[in-house]
Amino acid sequence: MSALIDCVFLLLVFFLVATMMKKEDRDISINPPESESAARLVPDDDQVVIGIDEAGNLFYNGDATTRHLLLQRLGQVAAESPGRRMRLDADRNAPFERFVEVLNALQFRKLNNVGIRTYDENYNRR
Amino acid sequence: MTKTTTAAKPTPPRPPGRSNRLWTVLVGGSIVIHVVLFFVLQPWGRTLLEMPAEEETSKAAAQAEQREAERQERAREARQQIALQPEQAEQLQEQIERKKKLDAQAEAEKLEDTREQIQQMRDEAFEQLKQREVTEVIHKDLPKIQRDLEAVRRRVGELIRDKAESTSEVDQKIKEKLSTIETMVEDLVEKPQPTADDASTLTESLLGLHRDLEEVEDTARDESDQDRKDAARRADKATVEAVRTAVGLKEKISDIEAFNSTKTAQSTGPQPEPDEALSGSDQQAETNKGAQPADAAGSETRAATDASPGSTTKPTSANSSLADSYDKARAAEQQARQAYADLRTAELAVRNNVTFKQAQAQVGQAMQPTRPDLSDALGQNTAQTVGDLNAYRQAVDAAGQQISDMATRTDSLLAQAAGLPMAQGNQVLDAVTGRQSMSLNVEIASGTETANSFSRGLDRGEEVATTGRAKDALDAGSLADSSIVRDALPGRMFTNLSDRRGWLYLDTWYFIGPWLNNGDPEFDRARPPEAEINLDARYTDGRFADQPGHPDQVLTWHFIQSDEVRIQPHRSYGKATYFAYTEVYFAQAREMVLAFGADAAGRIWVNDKLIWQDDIRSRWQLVEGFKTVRFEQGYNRVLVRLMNGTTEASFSVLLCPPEVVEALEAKLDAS
Repeated sequence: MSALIDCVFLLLVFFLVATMMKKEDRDISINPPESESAARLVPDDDQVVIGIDEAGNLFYNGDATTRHLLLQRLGQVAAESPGRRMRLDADRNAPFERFVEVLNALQFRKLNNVGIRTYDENYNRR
Repeated sequence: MTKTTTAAKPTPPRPPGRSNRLWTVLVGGSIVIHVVLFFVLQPWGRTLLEMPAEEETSKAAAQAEQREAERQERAREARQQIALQPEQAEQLQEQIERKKKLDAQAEAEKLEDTREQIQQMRDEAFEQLKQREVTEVIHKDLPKIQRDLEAVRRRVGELIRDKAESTSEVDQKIKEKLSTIETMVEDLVEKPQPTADDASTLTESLLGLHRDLEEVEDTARDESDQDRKDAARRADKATVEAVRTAVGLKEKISDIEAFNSTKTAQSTGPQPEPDEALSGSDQQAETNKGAQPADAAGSETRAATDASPGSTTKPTSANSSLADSYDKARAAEQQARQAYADLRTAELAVRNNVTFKQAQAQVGQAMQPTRPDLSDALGQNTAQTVGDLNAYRQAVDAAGQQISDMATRTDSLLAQAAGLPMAQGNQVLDAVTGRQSMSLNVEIASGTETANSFSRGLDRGEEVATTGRAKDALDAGSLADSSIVRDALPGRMFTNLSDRRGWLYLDTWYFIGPWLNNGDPEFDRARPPEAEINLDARYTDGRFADQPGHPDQVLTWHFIQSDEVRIQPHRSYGKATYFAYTEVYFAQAREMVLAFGADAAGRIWVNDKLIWQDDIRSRWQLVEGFKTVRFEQGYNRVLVRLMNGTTEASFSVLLCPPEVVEALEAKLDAS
């Protein structure tokens, strides 16, 4: 019976590893601002991540994009799922004008479920 | 035997000495000191103790992190140098490419389809353009040539009136030539399809007349006949003006004839792309036959240069590599962009009633996005080391991303192209210039039900369009600028469910500029944003294009949010033309009263319809233009062209429900 238990564990491990989905890395390399009042949220794989780096460049789910394309994509997201969670990853030194522009675009498209990523020791360590 | 013992001497009791007291004092004192230290000094004492500890800990952690990072960097570099077996390297490269290849090929094929669709739309637009009558395009030039001829006739009459009976050979020649020219012009005006030869003959005749008049002037100078010399000079001047008009006419008709004679969808064989070297395997380019370089001078042979659909050979998934897909996607993107630019130019040509070549000259070319040349990286031989393999992987990822980006951009172009009237097969309603579009304004005004409720002549298109004033609208005290400015709130989203009823000013804009103007509105000179709104576009024909290092050397769109009614560009220059673009959202389709003001002059379009034009240079006033405009449900586009004279440039756009304006007026009338 114990030998069979080993087989079961082996099978379990095999299927766990084989079926593990590789998560798409949508983060960009930024230095997010710190906040003591930030709330921890349950991770949402479906959320859209919009990045703004130090130079003001825009990213959509980890891929570099442009203003025009971003606005189009936001329009598509708003049309398909307006309640979708949006996460804004802005570098602490990102131009504020760009930050306001993106927030304005989100609000204009009625994408109001917006969160702003802040520094988290555990998350940023990796 | 007797023993005697000696009793021990009793030890005298030790007197309590100083040592005991000393011990007591020391022990007691130390206890007290410790207690005092514990209770009194503990808070900052602990801090003092902990701070160095924390600093030490963080320093140690930072040093450990740095050492770890260096160790990892060294390990990474060492790994990069690990040699690979050729077979192993090939296998790994193939695995890396396989993951991206299928997606990239699908995207590239989709991009090809999109390109073909845009080119098809372009070809249809060209066909529509070719169906224009020549007289439509030159309808302004014919009256001008007639006026010029009338001036020539008058001046020549003044020249030879005293010599009506003159038998001077030159004067006779002049009279005959003038008579011939008059006949030519009459024929030209009455002809249904004047040709370039007709215009050329007319030009030659006018030049002959010009030479004769010069000869008369020289003769009069030699004879010291000042009156005759002056008369000849005036006549010559009028003739030169007529020559200019005739030359312009000839060029226009030639352009039209050249454009109409081009054939569409001709395959002219493989052509290399002008700016980017394709990889060797793509020189075959059967899928991109006939892709001739973009000709900014307007050769108007563009319709003949693209691949006919029948000759396109799509690569099969099994055959083409990722490098092939990438190069094909780049070529397809360039062609799609060019086809789209041609489509917009054709639309502008019809809208402004000019030739295709003239429209091309008016519309600047936006800088195209530069794509990295990955031919070497993707086409490299088998990787020798892990570092080469990683570089290859990065190139493959970059190719995949670029192809995806190209496909997205081209889809966006297709969507924009599909929204054009010409692409939809509709005739462009008004082949008019801005000045004539007052009739369009009247159409819009009369089309709205609420327009008639305004008895103050707010929507009198003619008056508003030509004078730039809606004076009747300003009579009402409720429309006084101060009250509107005081009460207006910023916003771009409108719904009937809102509790607020009142004036809203559009506060969020994208600005671009400046282009140089000569101090006049120059509305006839179209600028690129009138043809296409692309917020990623970069234009190099701005006012400071020849000043390297100038912040506005390359024109890009700037995001602006204003906290006041008057909107100003990001940087204000004199003799400058700017464009401002925004969108407004309406939950339901409805009419709104639009108040527009500009310093110095401006135009405003809503959903590509020209709503208002102020061509009189003036300072900003809140209500220079006042119109009822219909907005569609959803997102509506608003474009403003702002012309600045010498001072600061600014404009304002306010919206208010018409019933609210009416209520305000009624309230004021009652009071």
